Amino acid sequence: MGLAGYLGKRAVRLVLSLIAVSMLTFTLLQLAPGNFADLQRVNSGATNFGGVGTESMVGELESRYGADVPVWKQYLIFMKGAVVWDFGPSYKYASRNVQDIIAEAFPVSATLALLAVLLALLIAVPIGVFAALRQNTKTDHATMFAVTLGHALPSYLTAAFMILLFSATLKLLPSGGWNGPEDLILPVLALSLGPAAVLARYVRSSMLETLREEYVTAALAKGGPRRTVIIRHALRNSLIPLVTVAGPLLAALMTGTVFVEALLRIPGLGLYFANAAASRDMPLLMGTAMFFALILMVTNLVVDLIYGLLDPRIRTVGGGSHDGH
Amino acid sequence: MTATEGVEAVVGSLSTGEPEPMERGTTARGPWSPAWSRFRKHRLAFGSLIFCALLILTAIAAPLIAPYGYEETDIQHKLAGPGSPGHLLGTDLLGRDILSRLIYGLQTALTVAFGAELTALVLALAIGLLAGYLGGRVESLLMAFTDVMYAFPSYLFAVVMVTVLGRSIFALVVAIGIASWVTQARLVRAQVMTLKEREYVEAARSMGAKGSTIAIRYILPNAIGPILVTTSFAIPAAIAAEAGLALLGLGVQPPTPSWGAMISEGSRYLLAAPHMLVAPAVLFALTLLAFTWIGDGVRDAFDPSGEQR
Amino acid sequence: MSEGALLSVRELRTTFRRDGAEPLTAVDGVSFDVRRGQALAIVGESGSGKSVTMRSVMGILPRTARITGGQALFAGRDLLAIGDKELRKVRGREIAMVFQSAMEAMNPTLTLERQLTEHLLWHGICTKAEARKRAVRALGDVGIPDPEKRIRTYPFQLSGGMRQRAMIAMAMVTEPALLIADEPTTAVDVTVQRQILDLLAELKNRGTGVIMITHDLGVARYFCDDAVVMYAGRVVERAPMGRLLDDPRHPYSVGLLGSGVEVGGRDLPLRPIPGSPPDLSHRPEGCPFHPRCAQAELPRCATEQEILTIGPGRDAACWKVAVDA
Repeated sequence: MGLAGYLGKRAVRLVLSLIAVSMLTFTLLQLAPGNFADLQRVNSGATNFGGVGTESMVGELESRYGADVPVWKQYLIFMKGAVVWDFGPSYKYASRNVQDIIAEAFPVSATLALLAVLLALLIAVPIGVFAALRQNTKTDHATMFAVTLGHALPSYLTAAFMILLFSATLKLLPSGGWNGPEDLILPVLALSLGPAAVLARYVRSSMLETLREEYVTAALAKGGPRRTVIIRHALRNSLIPLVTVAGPLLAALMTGTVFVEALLRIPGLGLYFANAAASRDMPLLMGTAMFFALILMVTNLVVDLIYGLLDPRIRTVGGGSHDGH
Repeated sequence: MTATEGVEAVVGSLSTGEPEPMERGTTARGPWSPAWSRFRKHRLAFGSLIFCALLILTAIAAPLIAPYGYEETDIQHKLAGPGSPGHLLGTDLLGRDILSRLIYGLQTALTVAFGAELTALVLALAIGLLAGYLGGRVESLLMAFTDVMYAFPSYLFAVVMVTVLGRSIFALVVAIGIASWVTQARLVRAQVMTLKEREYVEAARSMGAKGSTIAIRYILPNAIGPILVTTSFAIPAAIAAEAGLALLGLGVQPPTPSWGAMISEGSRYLLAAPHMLVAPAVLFALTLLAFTWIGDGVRDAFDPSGEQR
Repeated sequence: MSEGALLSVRELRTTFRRDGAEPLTAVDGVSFDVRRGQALAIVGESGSGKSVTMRSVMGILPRTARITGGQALFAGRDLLAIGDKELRKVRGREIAMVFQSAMEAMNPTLTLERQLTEHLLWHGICTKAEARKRAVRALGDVGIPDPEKRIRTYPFQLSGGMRQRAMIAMAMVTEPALLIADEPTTAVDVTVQRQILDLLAELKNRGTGVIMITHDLGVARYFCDDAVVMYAGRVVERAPMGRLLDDPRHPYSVGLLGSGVEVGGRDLPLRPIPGSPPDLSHRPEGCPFHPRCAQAELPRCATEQEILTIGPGRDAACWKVAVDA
């Protein structure tokens, strides 16, 4: 199977999954009791946007979907817009189109996610290798215990402890907001620890496995300096499968920065998504949900392709099919 | 995946603490007592089990233990610091006792987590057993469905579900439960696939046992070990999911307390009243760690060679 | 050390650490010599300690292993005493190793070029450009067609036989004085076996000392001059190859020949030795072979084992040899 064929197959699967996700979300949201207008009436005064969107929403609904259109037709109309990247205006942020909100807020989340995964790798690789080389010693056990801690605590809880330490106690860093580069530090740190724990554990076990490979012994038998052999033969081969873990982590983070964004008041896409859900802003909710699903699937596809590039066994077999090892 | 991303991590979840169903099968007794004795030797896990048992008792007896009601306000002592008279952990902005709110928040967290994992367990078992046992078209259909669910970030799904169902304990149970059954269903199916080729299942079938009998009496009890392992890790994930949703303003309707909401509130008054953040964050962290260590213990008990690590 | 010996191993002992148990002795007082341009076969069943013996000499044992005694004299130096830094200069340069399976002993993610040249550079033998030329030449020498092109490929892209040759080229590119071949023909099919053996025989004829580790006397007799038979970590018989085949003395050697390990094309076991090799953690007292030995006389065989010289370059670890002779 050639690369083109493989890509084609994946693309078809991706589109089908997206359609399934959109139908599921759309159907569910149709079942939701109350709509944006009701909620605004209930909450009026409670939010800054009290009542603002109500009129425009009704108007918008009718101009976009026509009055009294059956649900399935509304779905088709929505999807027709979606394929040309037009989700229509948001209710809550009435003056803005959903796609513009995505275009503005996604880079914020993506920056956090990318930096967090990079930092996680920087933390995890040395720790994992270190622990593997000292397998079953006290250092190893202590390191892995620390990793469990990082693994068990959700990013927003880590962020909470960090603002307690760095903002409230040491008064070194701002406790939230999005004004300058210093606002990146806490969220990126908090987001990176969980993935770092997952990756460190993976690097350790992958490293242990590779160190037992005969080709590592063979490289030592050729007179290779221990450090060189560990880096060139063991580490390199241990890190290739790491892509399969780091990739999905990145994908999960791209869509999973929301909790930290909420806690630290960072205007990322996750925050918009959560606000859209809380205020029944259907176009924004649908738009962001589909965008997140798309990002998740595209990232996974890219990861598979990169994996193919890194491992010559797969690269030459072609198309990233995962056999041959 | 980090246990981190709230619901995201719930992707592998089910309820623990349901020993009855496993006791049913005759073949199931074998692995249990060695597993239990291994678990008891795991000091951290055993200690965590005791801690969590205390938490559960506290949650059940919340009205008896909490010094105040969760809504009760002490207008004279707003934002009182920890250790002030009558308020061990201080009060919040409205003068509500933080210790009491923590205890009721524990109730919320555990109810949602156990409820959600029970939901997920039932769903996963039903679908996994069906798919694994019936095979054929039913299986491809069910597995195609789980594939789609798999592509859907589970926290997104939970958010949508809460939007649909409203902000109640029931809604959270269903939302988190449904968002987290997929991985478990896949695991059940994989287990069933291997188990159903085993000799004793073949034997039972040759003697004319019905499909449903085989599934419940023979396959289920033997698939339960690995399921229990995933399940015990899913409990802390569900607790984190509940708090995460609350953090987003999608948790239980105030004034019912939730740790997530308390953390969110605490972060807003960080400089004026750091104790509002410290108390829930610390208790939350301890709870998550204790449940995670129980999970570690369960895994080591069922998998002493460490293969699943 | 005997006259003209290239490598002279004396009383080598290697133990393995175990959790909650006494260390396990895998190699127990092994001695032998290899001369320049000669081939020595170390014959024994799996678990007899033959591989561990050679890995001890090379200093490439797993971390749980320890050398607790003995000497390995090579070019006037004791390899077991010079320390890893000095030993590394010998390893892969003057003593090279060929493994059972090139599939496992060659790094699947590095090209042949990288793997055939890296130790030339580690040992500072030549420049990178010169290393490449030598590697191409080495590949040509082992009969790989079109070496210029093949050197850019990965091990898995070669056929099994080619891969095995490439591994031999990798060992020989530094022109070592001694080549250790650890079951080099076990993992390949019969036609390739013959080619590999011819290749090793040719190397011997060009003056390289060869140590062939094998469980297969049929392979050992193909070009080896001397043989050492090992059982349960000990040498039970040492003899010139022809003498061993014609007139084995130790009952185990007799059994090994009798079990018909393919001498002259017959590969059906004639009279297999009853029982199975001992678990090293429960090594029988005295002669470890006595529970399986048809001629064992208790209590003497269960209390002591002595080595008797029975001719030039010949000895056997069985007191009955002297009685018989």
